[in-house]
This record gives sequence, C-alpha cells and structure tokens, in this order.
Amino acid sequence: MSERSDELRICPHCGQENSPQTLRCIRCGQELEDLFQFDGLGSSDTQFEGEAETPLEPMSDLLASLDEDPLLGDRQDKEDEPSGGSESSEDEENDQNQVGFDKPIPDWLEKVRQRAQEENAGGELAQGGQAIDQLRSSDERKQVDAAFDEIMRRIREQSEREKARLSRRVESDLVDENGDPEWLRRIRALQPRKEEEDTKELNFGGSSQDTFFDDWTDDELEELLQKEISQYQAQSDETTENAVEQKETEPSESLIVPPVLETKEVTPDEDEDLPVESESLEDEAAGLLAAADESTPEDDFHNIPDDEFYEGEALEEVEPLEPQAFPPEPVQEEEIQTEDSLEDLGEPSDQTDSLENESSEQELTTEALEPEPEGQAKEAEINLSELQETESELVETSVEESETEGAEAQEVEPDAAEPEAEEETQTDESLNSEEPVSTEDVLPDLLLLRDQRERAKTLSNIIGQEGKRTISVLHEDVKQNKFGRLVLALLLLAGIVVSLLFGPGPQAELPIMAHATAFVDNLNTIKAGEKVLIVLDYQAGTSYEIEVLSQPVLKMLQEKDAELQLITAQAADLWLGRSLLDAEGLQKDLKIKFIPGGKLGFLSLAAGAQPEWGSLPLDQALAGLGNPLEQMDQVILISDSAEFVRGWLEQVQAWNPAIKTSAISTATPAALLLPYYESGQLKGFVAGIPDSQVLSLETNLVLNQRAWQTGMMIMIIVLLLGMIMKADVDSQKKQGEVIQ
Amino acid sequence: MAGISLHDLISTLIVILFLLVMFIAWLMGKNKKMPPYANPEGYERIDELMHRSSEEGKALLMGLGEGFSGLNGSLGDQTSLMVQRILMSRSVFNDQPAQSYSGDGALACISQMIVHGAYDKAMAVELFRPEHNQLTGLSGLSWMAGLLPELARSDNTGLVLAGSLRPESLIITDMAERKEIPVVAATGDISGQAALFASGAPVLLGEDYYLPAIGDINQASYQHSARVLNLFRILLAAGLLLAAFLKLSGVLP
Amino acid sequence: MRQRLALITAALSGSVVLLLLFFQPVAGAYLALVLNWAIIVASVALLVAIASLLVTHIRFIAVGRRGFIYSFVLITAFLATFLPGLFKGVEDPGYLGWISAIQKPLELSLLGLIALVMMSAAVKLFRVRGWSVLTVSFAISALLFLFLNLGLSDWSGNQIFSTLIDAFLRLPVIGARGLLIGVALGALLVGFRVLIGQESDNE
Repeated sequence: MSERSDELRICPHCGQENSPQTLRCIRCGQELEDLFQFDGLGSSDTQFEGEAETPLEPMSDLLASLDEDPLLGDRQDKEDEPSGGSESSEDEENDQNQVGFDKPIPDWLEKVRQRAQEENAGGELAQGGQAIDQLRSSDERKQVDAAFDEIMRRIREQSEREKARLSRRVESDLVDENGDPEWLRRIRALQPRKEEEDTKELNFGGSSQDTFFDDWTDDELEELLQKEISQYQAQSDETTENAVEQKETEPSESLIVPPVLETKEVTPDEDEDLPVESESLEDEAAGLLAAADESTPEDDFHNIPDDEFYEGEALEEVEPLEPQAFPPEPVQEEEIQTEDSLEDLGEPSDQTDSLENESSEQELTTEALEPEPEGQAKEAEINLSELQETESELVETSVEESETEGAEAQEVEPDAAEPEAEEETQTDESLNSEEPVSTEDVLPDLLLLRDQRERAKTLSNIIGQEGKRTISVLHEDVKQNKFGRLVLALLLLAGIVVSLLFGPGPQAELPIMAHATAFVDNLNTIKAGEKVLIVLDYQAGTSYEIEVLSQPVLKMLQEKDAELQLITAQAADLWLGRSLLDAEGLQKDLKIKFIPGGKLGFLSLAAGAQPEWGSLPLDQALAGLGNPLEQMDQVILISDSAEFVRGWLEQVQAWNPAIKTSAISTATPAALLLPYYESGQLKGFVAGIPDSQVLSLETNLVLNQRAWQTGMMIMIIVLLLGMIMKADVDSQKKQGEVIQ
Repeated sequence: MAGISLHDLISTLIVILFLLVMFIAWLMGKNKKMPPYANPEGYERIDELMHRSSEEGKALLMGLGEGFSGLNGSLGDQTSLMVQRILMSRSVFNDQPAQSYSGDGALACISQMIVHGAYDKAMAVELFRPEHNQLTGLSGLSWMAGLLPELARSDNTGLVLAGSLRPESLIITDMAERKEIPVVAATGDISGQAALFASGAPVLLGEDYYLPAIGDINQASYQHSARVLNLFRILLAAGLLLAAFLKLSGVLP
Repeated sequence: MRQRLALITAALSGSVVLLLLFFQPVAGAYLALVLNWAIIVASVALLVAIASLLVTHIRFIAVGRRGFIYSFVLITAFLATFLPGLFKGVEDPGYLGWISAIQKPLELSLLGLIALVMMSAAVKLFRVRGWSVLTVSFAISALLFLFLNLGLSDWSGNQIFSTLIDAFLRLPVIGARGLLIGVALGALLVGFRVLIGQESDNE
C-alpha cells in the first residue's frame, strides 16, 4: 500500500511498519519516539566544536556537553597551567564567535566585556576563578558526576515508566476528560494558544503541571534535584568545609545561575550575545539544572512542551537584556537575588541553606512579577549600591546593569506602582506577539529537511487553524420539536385524505402558461412521417408526474403517424420507459435504446463524425440504429432535471440548431426552463400537473382537484404560520428588553 | 468547411473578452490598496466544520453530488472536487477520517484519487482506506438514499454537501438537522440552491459556489476569480442594457 | 512531477477538445474519437467504483464489522439485480417490471417525505434565517405562486388582473436569467482555471 516503504519505521515493540510521521504504532500503540529527531543534525554543540557526530543518546550528549563545559575546561587548564585560565576562556569565546555567532554585539555587552577585561586585569576575577578551582577538587568532581548520574538514571526510569503508562492509557483512553483527543493535546502542547501562554507565564510554575501532566513539571524536577543535591551535600560536608572561605562567590553562583540558564537554554540568540566570562562561573550549575530540565530524552515528543514552558519562563528572565522595554522588573529580581546573597553571606557555613534559597528562588521570582511599591524599588536600589562593594564582580556587573535600568525606569515613572504591573502585562503580551515559540529563532540547530518541512507545514496549518470558533449546531438553542412536525404531517395527510374521500371537485381554474401553449402548438406542427427523437431522463420518484404528461403526447404522435425513436443515457429509464410505453393505445414495438456515456455520448453523436479509418465504440454499440440525431426533425426531452435540459440545449442542440426541441418536465425545473423558451432554444415545454390542461386533458383525470387545492392551502397556511411565529418571538423579545 | 456561425462568433468574442477581463483583474490585483473580498459564508462554514471535526475527533461527511461523468452533472462538479481536496488536506490526521459519498462512478474514482493524494501528500498513505470514499448510487435519489443511513451514525461531526444537488437534497439536510449535525450545502444547481435555502443549512447562492476559498486556502485564486466575475458581470449588464436600447430604438432588428 | 504530469494532461485534454469543437467541421472524426475515449474511461470508472463498493462490503462481512448485516443485504440485492439481468437481458419485460416494482415505491415514498420536509422548512424558515430581504421576498413569491396555483378562480376575464398575473408569472424568468448568467460565468471561470492549471495550485 505504502509507496514509501523505504522510509517506514519499524515498531520496536511489535515489528509493525509505520509511516515516518506516525506518533504511535498503528498496531500496538507503542510510542515511536523519534518523530522530532531531525535527520542528519546533531546538537549544536557538537557541530560547533567540530566533533564527530555519533548517535549518542540525548542524555549522553548532555553529559558529554558537561564534560566539555568551558568551566571544566578552564579548570583543567588551570590544573595544568594555573595562570592560563583566562586565556583559554578567551579562546573559547573567540572560537564560538568565529564558528557561528556572527551577530553584531550590542553596546551593553561590549561594555560588560570591556569592564570584565578591566577587572580581570586587576586580578579580582582571576582570583575568584582560582578560588573556585581550589574549591573543586577532583574528588568533588567525581561526587558531582556520581550525583548527576544518579539524577539522570532516576529521571530516565521515571520517564520510561511514564511512557509505558501513557502507551497503555492511549489504547483505552484516547480522549481526555475534556473530550480532547490525544493528538490534539499534543498539538496544543506543541504550540499553545496565546492565552495559554499568558496564563503559563503568569502562573509560572504551577501551570505546567496542569497543561503538560505527562511531562516532568518544574516542581518535580526542582524537588528531585534538591533531593539529590542534598544527599550529595550531606556526603560532602567535609569537602565543602573549605568552601566556606569562598563564600563570596559560591552563593551568588548558585543563585544567579537559573535565570541565565533559562535564557541560555531557550534563547540562543541572546545567549550568543552573552559574554563567555559571565557564563564561565555558572556553567557547571547551569549544566546541572539544564540536565534536570531536559529530563526526558531529547527526541521525545513530550520534551517539546517542556521547552516551550521554560521558554515562557525564560522570557521573563531575559527581560534585563532589554532595558528599555522592561525597566522595573530586573530591579526586583536582582533585589531578591542579592538579598539571598546577603543571607548566604551572613551564614557562610550553611551551604544547604543556599540551596534552599535556590529552590525558593522560583517563589521569589514569582512574587517579583507582582507590582511592588515605589519605596521598595528605591530601597532595592540603595541595597544594591551597598552591595556592590561586597559582592563578586559578576554579581556586581549584573546588579549594576539592573540598577541602571531601575534608575531609568524611576526617572521615567517615579510613582508607577500600578503602571508597573500594567507594563508587565503589556510586555508579556508584546513578547508573546513576537512569536516566542518560533523554533527557527530559538533553536538554530532545528533546521528542517524538506520532507520534515512539509510535515511541519501540515502540522502548522492544523495548529494555525486550531482553536477557531466552531460552527454551532443548527438550531442548537432551539429544541427539535418533533411533536410540532408530527402535527404538521398529520394536518397535511388529514387534509388530503378528507379531500380524497369527498371526491373530485370542479375543474381547476389554473392559469394557462404561454410555454405550455407553445408546446402544444409545436406538437401540432409535426406531420406524418416526420422523425421525432424522444430522450428519456427521469427517475422513478418523478415517473408518475412525467408519465401523466408524456403518455398523451406519445399517443398524439402516433396518431400523427410520426416516426418515433426513444433513447436514454440512464439505465433506470430502460425499465421506467417500458412502463411508459405499456400504456394503452401505444405501439408495443417501440424500443428504448441505451446511449453509453451520458452527456458525452450525446455530444459525440451530435458533434462527432464517422471516421474514415473505421467505426468507433459508440457506433458499434448503436449498431443497426445509426446516429439517432441525424436527420431528426423534432426532439422532445422528457426529463425531471433542469440541468439535463440545459446541458442538452447548450451542448447538443447547438450542433443541430435546425432541430426543433421541446420538453416535458416536472413542475420543479419550470422556472429555469423559461429563459430558454424565451430565447427560442426551446419551442415550448409542459411542466408538471398545472400544465396538463393544455394537452386536452381534464385535470380531474390527472389529479384529485380537491386534494391538490387542500395541499396548496396547507402550504400557504404553514408558511404564514412560520412568519407569525417569528413575529411573535420578536415581539416577546422586544417586550423583554423593554422590561429589562 | 462550413462557415463560422453567429454562435461561433459570439462564443469567440466572449472568450476573448473573458481573457481581457482576467488580465485587467490581474492588474487590479496588483493594487494592494484594494480591500480583499470576504470569503463566501458557506465556505467559511465549511472551514469551521473542519475545525469542529478536528476538535471533536469525529468524522466529517461529504456528499459529492450525483454526477460527474455526464449523466446529470455539469462542470461545476469540478468545484466539489476542489472543496474535497481542501477539506481532505486538513482532515487527514483527524481521529476519524472524512468520508465521501458520490453519486456517479467517475466521480467516485476521481474523488478516491483525491483522497489518496491527500494522504500521500501528508505521507500517511497507510491510513488511507478505500471504504472512506464510496459510490452510493447511480442517480440523484439513489445517491441520497445511500447517504442518509450514514448520517444516522453517532460519530459524525458535520456534513458538507458539494456538487450537483437536486432540490430533493432537502431531505438530507432535514435528516442532518434532526441528528443535530451541521450541514453546509454548496451546489451549482439553481433549483437545488432554492430548495436548500428553505432549510437551515448555510447555502452558497449563485456563482459563489464556483469560488471556493476555505479559510486561508485558495485565497489568491478566489480574490482574482471574484474580481474577474464582478468585472465581467458589469460588462454583461452594460451589454444587455445597450442591446435593449438598440432594440427599442430600432437599430437592431 | 506526478502532479505536473496530471496537470499537463488535464490542460492538454481540455485544450484539444476545445480546439476540436471549434474546428468541428474538419475535425469531427477526431472529436468523436476523443469523446469515445472519455466515454470508455467513464464507463470503466463506473465498473471500478462498483467493484470497490462490493469489495469493501465483502471485507466488512469477512471481518464481521459492526452492522455487517447491511453489507450482506447490499451484496444480496446487487446479485439479485445483476444475475437476472445478466442471464435474461436488460430488455426482458419481466426483469424490467420486477426492478421497476421495487424502485418506484421506494423513490416515491422518499419524495412524499420531501413534501413533509418542505412544510416543516416553511415553518422554520423565518426562525432560522430571520427577517431579511431574501427571506421576505422568498416568502412573498412562494405565497403568490401557491395562491395562483390554487385554481380557485379564473382571472382571465379581467384584463387588469390578467395582465398583472402575467407580469407576476414572468418574475421567475428574470431571476432565473440572472442566476443562469452567474452560474455560466462561474462555470466558465472553472473551465479556465482547469485549462491553465490553476486548480492544482491551491495548496
């Protein structure tokens, strides 16, 4: 069946072949993981560093990236060459800039770098770095690695359990409690709607659990990380005693990392612009948290919502990078961070507390989203200025930047407590409107191959249309009144039955139509021996109405001794026409010839010519009959379809304009045949029972006059009833409005 | 060789005029200041039905009318196939696949190809099933009789009637209303349009049927076509008025 | 490429038929040839569609799908129609009468239902569509023609009434003519779009 068998994916569970884009095995429901693994593209890190691309597991990549962490590299270099650390970091920075970070460096970054270099020249930054190096002995490194491996192992196990649970659940429960199917939730998770994003950003940590219940939530990850690190801390108390001496740098590192990490993880553009110096002190912890963030495998579908979720968080953390757009917020955030730092400075020996502070940072940051009074902001500024002397240079740099922003904001809006909140909302909206989820902007390594792009296009089309207003069920607000329908039906039936019981009334006085008179006039012009072609095209449902009109016409033609020929392109007319011809007074030897191909067959007979090289299939099918359209004097179309008559007149009759054409039809298409009658293409037509009078038929013989009139009356009443009911409803509404 | 008749001359004139109008409309389309035409309401409703189908995870039914091979149909049935193509391209991955029902053999085969193509384009050919696209009858009423039982199923989210529809199709819309299934009717058959207008279903009236623009899809073509039709309509009206004037003044015999 | 091939084939076929129609006096034989091809293709398509329908329902029966009994009814009805026609011929009066006796009542009852549906639609028309120019003019014209077709009185005696009625009866011509022009334009447009291959560029 499939034309792309070479691209099929084999289910690891049951061996079933699946299409490349199938999310789950079509037989067993096993989740096929590598939907969003883009062929031929590894992680950006490996590409940038020119390493051979090996099919490592995502977690392995992560671990490898930790090993290649600039900080560790820096330290290793220092172990070998104690004085060359700053050079190596500079080299890495240069490498990165050369490889792919060609974007113009913003002014603020230039200033930060310049200042960092100046400070570095003073030796303060180098001293801080050396202190960290001393702190991290090789034993510590092993313990960190071990703790990290343990975290990863647990995360994987839990992820596997989740997946197994989901795959079982999918088989039995494809639709959630809201009635949303699994695929739709996935799509929504891929690109949440704007309002969802807003909510997510405002709720910060809590919303993720609600939205992406089958992923690792922020809280879960945080809790797991704390648990593991606490264990590690308990084990390494002795080792960390030395770290007390380095208290100036350690707490600030642990506190500042998460925002930078999130910025780095989601917005590589900004990340590219960040100075490597500012990252170097934070990378280790950042890597640790990043690994925890990427708790599910990289190629796991469910990972994507996580990314997006952090993206939402990161947007808030990125705000300090745009001082004009978000003036007050960074002050608050830095205030919290520096306050924490102060606390840690006050309790230098308690590293666990610093970790607790780290864990509570989310709450604090969430609080920071709320507007703060002006006084607090000013206080923060004072605190920050005091802190600048005691903090590490990295903290000082970021605080100074924030301070500047805060000062600017206060200059612009000195008493903007509420406006601050409004501004926050506006900036959130503006961020959302700037398509924060654009994968092309966010993840440069997500280059799409052609087929993947097509797939993505299909998905994005679906996503783009998702969430639109849906059509309402017809008369959703009006209950279907089946009783009313029954009453109407009974009324109609009763009226007709009663009128039938009372017998036929007087002759109907129906208006005689000009087209019907013209039809009879045309019929009267037919002379003996003239060839008349009768084309049948009606259905069983309308056969009664058609036969009533057609039989007298056929009788008249036979009486005139016209040469009749009957053809049809509808198989059903072979037996319907037979009952037409079985009427009394008609020749029994008349036969109906079937023309294959419908309108095409008629067109071929009308416009085509007999080829010299032999006969065509249609000619062979009509063997013995010849071309029925040749040498005809009259054509009478017997049809219940205006479309058929129109098609004949426009496509068949146009080739033989000399042939006079008239029609017998039901009442329904009469209005559409009138223009053709007026243009002369139809010599005349009779349509339905009302026109039967012109055929010298007494209407009473064709239909029960009373029943006809009763039916018409009931229809008039019903139509008026509908209008009255609507007017009544409208007036009641108006009265209600007036009362209100 | 027979001489060129008045018929030939008129048709040639119309075709040349049409090409000219298309060119003018194309030039007018370059003017970005011109406000775009709104989509016909019926096609907007089809768009909404597509979303509804996706959201509810239920099947969307499509009645393609009674003819394509020349028994009853007209060129307008080409439009129903275009509607089907657009619709299918957006519902391939729905939980329940869209179902199409045709009243003619050739129509069933071509629509089968379109559905297959939609799955092929979405690289999900293994999800294609021939039974999702069936012939249900060889005439107008038998096609309707085949479609009615499908409406009675519980897992339908909506019905799109597009193609050559007789006035009798009203019974389909009535059945759908009773089952509380939204219906959108799009037909080039004028008597069909008139009858379906009496129902509650959104109906495409007049030549709107020939301008399928569902959501953002086919917008460029729609805008251009609508402009051409409007211009051509103006020209025809002017021509008719002129002819009437000439006739009344005795210039024309 | 496959799409382009189909597009080119469609555009070429359309153009050839148009040319042959235009030059029919000299190219009538070729026109008949092309149309015969189209007829054969359409006929084979019908056979394929019927075969597909049968195969589908046979599969439903084979796998015991829910409601497969209806599939069984369909197959039985098909065979009961097809086999006698095959052996007795489609011109056999007994065969034709038998088929007709089944089909006529079925379709007539369907049309009878339509009368009831029309009634309920008439009641709901304003509730569903509200008051608009279209609905009001629709209702007025419907009432007018229903009243005229009642046949209660003969208007031909009165010259004024007769003229008025004639004018009213010609109203549908005006509407139909406008609609037909619109539909013809639409069809012309679709034809052009097919010819220039714009139809396949919708995605």
